[in-house]
Amino acid sequence: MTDVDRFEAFVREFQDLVYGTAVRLLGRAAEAEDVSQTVFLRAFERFDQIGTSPSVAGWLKTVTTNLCLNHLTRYRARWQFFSELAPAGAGGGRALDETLAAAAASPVEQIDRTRRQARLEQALAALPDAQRVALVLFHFEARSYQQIAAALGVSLAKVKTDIYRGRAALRRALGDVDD
Amino acid sequence: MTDDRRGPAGTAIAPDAAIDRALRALPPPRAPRTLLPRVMAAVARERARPWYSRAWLAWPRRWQAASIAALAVPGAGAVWLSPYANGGADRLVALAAAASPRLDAVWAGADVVATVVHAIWSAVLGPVAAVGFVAAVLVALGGGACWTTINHLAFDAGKGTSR
Repeated sequence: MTDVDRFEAFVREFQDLVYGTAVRLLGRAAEAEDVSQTVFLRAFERFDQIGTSPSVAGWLKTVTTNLCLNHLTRYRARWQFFSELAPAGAGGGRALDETLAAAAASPVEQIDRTRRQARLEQALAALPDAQRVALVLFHFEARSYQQIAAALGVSLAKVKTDIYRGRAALRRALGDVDD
Repeated sequence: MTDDRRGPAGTAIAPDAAIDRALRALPPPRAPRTLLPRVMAAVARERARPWYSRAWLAWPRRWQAASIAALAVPGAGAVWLSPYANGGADRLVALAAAASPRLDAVWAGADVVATVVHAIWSAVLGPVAAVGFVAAVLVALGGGACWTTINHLAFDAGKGTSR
């Protein structure tokens, strides 16, 4: 098995982890693919060291998260400033369509549940970046408020406010999740 | 993970168990089928590039070692030779002059040019250069302050709403 074959197997194994982390944080599939590609290129540069490391999943998740936060702060803020676009989440490419299409393959009796999950995914992706990133780091990355504040370079109060508002927005968007 | 679920200004947040449960129940997103070929194409492009145009960390080990040595050897040599540097240039010029009379004439010419340049510097350029240096530093500081202010107002201040 050549290095390229080994790396292809490596990408197959971890692509859902990397892409899933990126798409949840960024809320846009196209940008998540860009970041995922960058993450795997970095992994390829260090494949000799990390290819067989037991902590490779953690390494990939950390690099993905850092690149996403960097992308949000460095690029998207400037892009929005110069183009004076609508708030994040409005338009800006296909949002999680492929993820939702994958979920549509569920059994018939789970269709309703799947639809609600799809609505939740869409509502999550449509949140303003600050609220979505804080919620995703809290729920899916198991970060504490303090860790989120440190990672984003904002105050603890802002993190709490963003999570509070994010939850409220999800509640409003779904309406019927409190079953 | 902290369980401090309090809202802004210290107000208690009602446990939002439904939202939390719903978020936790979301299936992990799956990568699109296009990602793997895209990544492998990028890897193929990366492999096609010559090693010296890649990031230093991706260089072959022997070239990494060679580059470190290439940087270290001149530095170590300079440190090692510094005690001998005083007067070394004069001895070198004397040796060269003894070897060739034409080099002696070139050296004499260079000496004259250096004397003239030194005189012009002392009389004319030196005082102006000091003022010019201070002015350049002030302009650079002013420009930096302006850019920092614009950057803060335009980008950092917008983080709270645009993120």
